[in-house]
Amino acid sequence: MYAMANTFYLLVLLGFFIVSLFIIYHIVKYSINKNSSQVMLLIFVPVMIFLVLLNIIFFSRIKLEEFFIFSQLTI
Amino acid sequence: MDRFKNFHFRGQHSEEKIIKIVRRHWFNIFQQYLIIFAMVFLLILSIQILPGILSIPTNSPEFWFVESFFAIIIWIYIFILWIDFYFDVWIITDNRIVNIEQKALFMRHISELDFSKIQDVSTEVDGLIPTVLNYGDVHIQTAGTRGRFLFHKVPDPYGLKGLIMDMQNRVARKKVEKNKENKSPFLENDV
Repeated sequence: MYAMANTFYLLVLLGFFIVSLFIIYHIVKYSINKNSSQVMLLIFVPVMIFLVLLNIIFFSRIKLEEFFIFSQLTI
Repeated sequence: MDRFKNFHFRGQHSEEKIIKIVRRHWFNIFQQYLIIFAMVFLLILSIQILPGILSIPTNSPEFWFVESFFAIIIWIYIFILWIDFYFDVWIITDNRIVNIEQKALFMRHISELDFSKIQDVSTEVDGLIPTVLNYGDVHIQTAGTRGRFLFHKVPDPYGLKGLIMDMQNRVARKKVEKNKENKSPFLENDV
């Protein structure tokens, strides 16, 4: 059960990573002004990294065994 | 000084000069961002209210995991909308108009139109807000089979129409002058 939850979370993280790569690719490749593309990257990348790291930290703090026992009891 | 010296688009000719870059009016992105504002408002509201309603501690990692998860989705959505707006652009150069149409992340359409092929330019400002904020559509009727070329929800459509017609006249004059220069002196004597 925990392995499944971890795998599912990894897949979600992979999804975030792929979408972020697409956004960065568009900003770098298709921008007609290099200065504005740098500004966009400077805004997007650090905030995205910060949010994902925060999410990973919170996920790692979740006690999955307690969580699953609780959800089984409620069902 | 050249305003657009830092700008360069793919397919730009070596001597081609950018005259104007047009994007959709800011009100268009504002309308799309209303849903983002609502989502951010709900996120902040849920941080304030949900721990009380669900009687969970405010330092619960499950709670902050869900909140940060939605924050990531909002952040990605902000940039997807921004890319759709910012990379959807019309570039007016000294001899053509290039339309780069960006639809979300996976669709991109580029078309171009020479000033010499323009037959008619018309504007359409429809509604109260477009009239007050001065934005609307500019339609260009072309001589070719492509039909119409559309500037959608752009600021100052009347000014843009004037610029396009001005550029069209300039290109036509240049063409006439070039033809005169290339004309054989023998032919000129005959006339």
